[in-house]
Amino acid sequence: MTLAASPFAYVPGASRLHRLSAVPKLVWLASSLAFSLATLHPLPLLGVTVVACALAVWAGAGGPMWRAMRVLGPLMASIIVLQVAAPAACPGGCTPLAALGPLTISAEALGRGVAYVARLLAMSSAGVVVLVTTRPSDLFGALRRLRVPHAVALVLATTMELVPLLGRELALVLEAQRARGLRATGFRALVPALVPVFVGAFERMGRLAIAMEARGYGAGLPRTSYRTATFGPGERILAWAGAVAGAAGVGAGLTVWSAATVPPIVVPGRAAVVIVAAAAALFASLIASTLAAIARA
Amino acid sequence: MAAAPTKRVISLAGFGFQHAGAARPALRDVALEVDAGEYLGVLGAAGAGVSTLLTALDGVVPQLMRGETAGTVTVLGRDPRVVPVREWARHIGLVLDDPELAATQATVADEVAFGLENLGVPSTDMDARIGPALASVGLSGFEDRVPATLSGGELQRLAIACALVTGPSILVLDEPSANLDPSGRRAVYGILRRLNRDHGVTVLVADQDVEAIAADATRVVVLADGRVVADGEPGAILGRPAMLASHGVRTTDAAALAGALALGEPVPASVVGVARELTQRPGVARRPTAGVRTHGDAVISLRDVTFAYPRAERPAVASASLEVAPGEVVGVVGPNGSGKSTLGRLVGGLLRPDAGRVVVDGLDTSRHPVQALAAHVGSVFQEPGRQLFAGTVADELALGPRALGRTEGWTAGRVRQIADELGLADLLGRHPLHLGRAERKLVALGAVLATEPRVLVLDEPTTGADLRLAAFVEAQVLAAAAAGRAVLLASHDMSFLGRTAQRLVVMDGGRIVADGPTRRVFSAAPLLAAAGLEPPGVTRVALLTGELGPDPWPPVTLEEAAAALVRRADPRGEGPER
Repeated sequence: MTLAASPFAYVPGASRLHRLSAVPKLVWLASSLAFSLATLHPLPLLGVTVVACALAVWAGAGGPMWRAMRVLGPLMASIIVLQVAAPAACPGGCTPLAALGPLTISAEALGRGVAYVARLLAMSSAGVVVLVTTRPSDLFGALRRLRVPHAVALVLATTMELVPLLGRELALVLEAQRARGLRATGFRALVPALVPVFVGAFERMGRLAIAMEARGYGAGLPRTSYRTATFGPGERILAWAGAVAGAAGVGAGLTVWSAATVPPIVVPGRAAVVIVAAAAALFASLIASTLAAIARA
Repeated sequence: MAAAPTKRVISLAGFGFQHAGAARPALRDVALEVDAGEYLGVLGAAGAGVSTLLTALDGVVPQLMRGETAGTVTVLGRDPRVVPVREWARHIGLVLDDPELAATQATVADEVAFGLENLGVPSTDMDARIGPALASVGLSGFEDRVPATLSGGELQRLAIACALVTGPSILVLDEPSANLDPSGRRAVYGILRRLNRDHGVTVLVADQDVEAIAADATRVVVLADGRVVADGEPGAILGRPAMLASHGVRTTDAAALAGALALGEPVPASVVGVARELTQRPGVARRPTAGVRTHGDAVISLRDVTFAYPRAERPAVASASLEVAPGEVVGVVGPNGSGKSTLGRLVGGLLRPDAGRVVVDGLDTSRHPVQALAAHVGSVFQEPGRQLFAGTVADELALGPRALGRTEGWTAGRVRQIADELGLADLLGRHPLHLGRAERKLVALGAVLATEPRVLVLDEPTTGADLRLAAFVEAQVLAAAAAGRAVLLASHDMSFLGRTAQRLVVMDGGRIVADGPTRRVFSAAPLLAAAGLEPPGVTRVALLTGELGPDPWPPVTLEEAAAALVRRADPRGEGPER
């Protein structure tokens, strides 16, 4: 059995963070996400990222955090490249830093690229640190505790299950295609593969639904929870503190760190070229490795 | 035993079911009465209606799988067509054939707790029920493991624990051993036996592998074409090999041997029973059996091959060396996780060795892309649904030849030939994924045979196969070998290997621990036991009677065993004609 280990999957452990009730963790996650959406100032966003990464390392989940960030690396590179290549208009006039052939790298475009990368880093690192240190069942217990409807929680759970499932099925089908000598590449290989992948996945989901219902699962019945989201007074205070911090963060995002103004980043021209070239190289390597994978398949 | 009043728990009369949109009913006029504490084996070929019958008991049919029912069905005094499926959880434990369906939660304890949560059991009471449920299937100490990382056998035991935790008085299992190795299978059936004998749980189990049912069941019911065609004591039913075969149902190896020896029906169904019957008869016959005919140089050659999956703790295959000649059929056996499938993938060129060399039909797999190897080696995987891509069966069979650039004329002729050989001629216009599992498997096999590869690699070709499918697969393997192809079979099915493979390779922990003629490997009891394996029933009968056939090694097929034992079976010395 080959299971693709998702970098976002729960990693068992016994750290304080693992043992902390999922309710304050979820509240802090929600606050971090709200704050990250409210501002585009890279420094506070990087602050959120540093705290999340430090917590992950403290909880012994540095490895999964690193893998998750590595997965996002090419995406972040593409954000910088695209912001520089197709800059939005600068309201107060652009500050050119350097020229790369026909492209002019402006401090505003670079600033916007870095800001979006910082937002992505903040949101994903906060999400990863909660997901890898919280048992999914605890997470759903906490969602229930926070009055999120059960159906919504179940949809979340099923989606999290479906993505790796589709990935595994696709790998097996592509392997079978290669074994049959099919030389199709790119979409021509993918399209015929998608039919058995989805047929297989839906068949499995259908059978899973039968298996779950035979074990007593059904909507509209009073359910109990094995992992009750119990939390002590300290954890209650922590949860409220998270809510307050979230509100304060959103407040700051609407005022001092407004998302409407993205600070330009002024660096020497040569440094700007190096940053953009490095991002472009990472972005290109992603495209190249994808093409190579398709060609090999 | 005290004459406790028997309690009728299941009662069907004139019961029928037709799936919505189906041409024929899946079940017709079924009458069945089951008392509390019975252990019922339900047998039937693919499409006989076995799964439909089992899932009708807790209302999955017709509530979740729509269709028309007829007659009456009563379970524990209530009608499962009316009582919602989820309410049956506390009365009936249903275990479906795919153990992976029991991997829905983050930990084993959560998985078992799921059923209790659904019933609204207070969370403080849950651990007191999860512990015993896990203990009863031998999974104590597994509470914090992630279900998706368990072996197939452990997952199936977890599925049984999940079904048990709600305290049902009836346990229903559909093909519980289909994907398990022999030791996993023994563990599952040991659990069922204990639950039935010690805890009075009523057990209904369907399985294509009847050996365990023959040993443990108190009653056997045979379905064919949606009807009950036989119902009685296991000995009385399994001792009629000819009747069962006419319904496409397998009996035990030993009973099939006894049937071939014309011991008089009902024949004994157990190895010991047949051996005892035979040892009471005089005379010994030793007939020569056909030797192995192979020709030419090795067409599969592995030299010191090692392969490890990324991030694995140990290599899946370690220092394996193996040569297979054209026309040779080699079985690869060993427990789950021993490296059988990986070995097959290495030969098929789907994996490249980390160290050592794999040469297939003269091509080093490390130097040629898989597509170039496809003309030389054909791989059929365990799950047929994932290897079918075309819109019709005809296109599916033609896909390989077309990819290799064969002419349309040649391809059309080959497709017709394959379709005739595999009994697919009527299905050529159908969508492969609309077919039943057995037919999909045949299409997948036919699609690989269509390119006439010199090497065939089959992964568990008879898993969950009924008698008819197994016979088709067996005939194709033997035909491929006769045509000079080398065949590598990774399988847990020892009687199938006894009938097809001249040589067995035993794997354990990624290493090849034995490689020799099938009959010699089957007689090496300690070696087999160490790998959790057991020779087929016919071989065990011969070993018990001391009847070893022409050479010092025991017979491995029904025909050989019958030939070796024929005089014992017939005091006049005239064996049944072959």
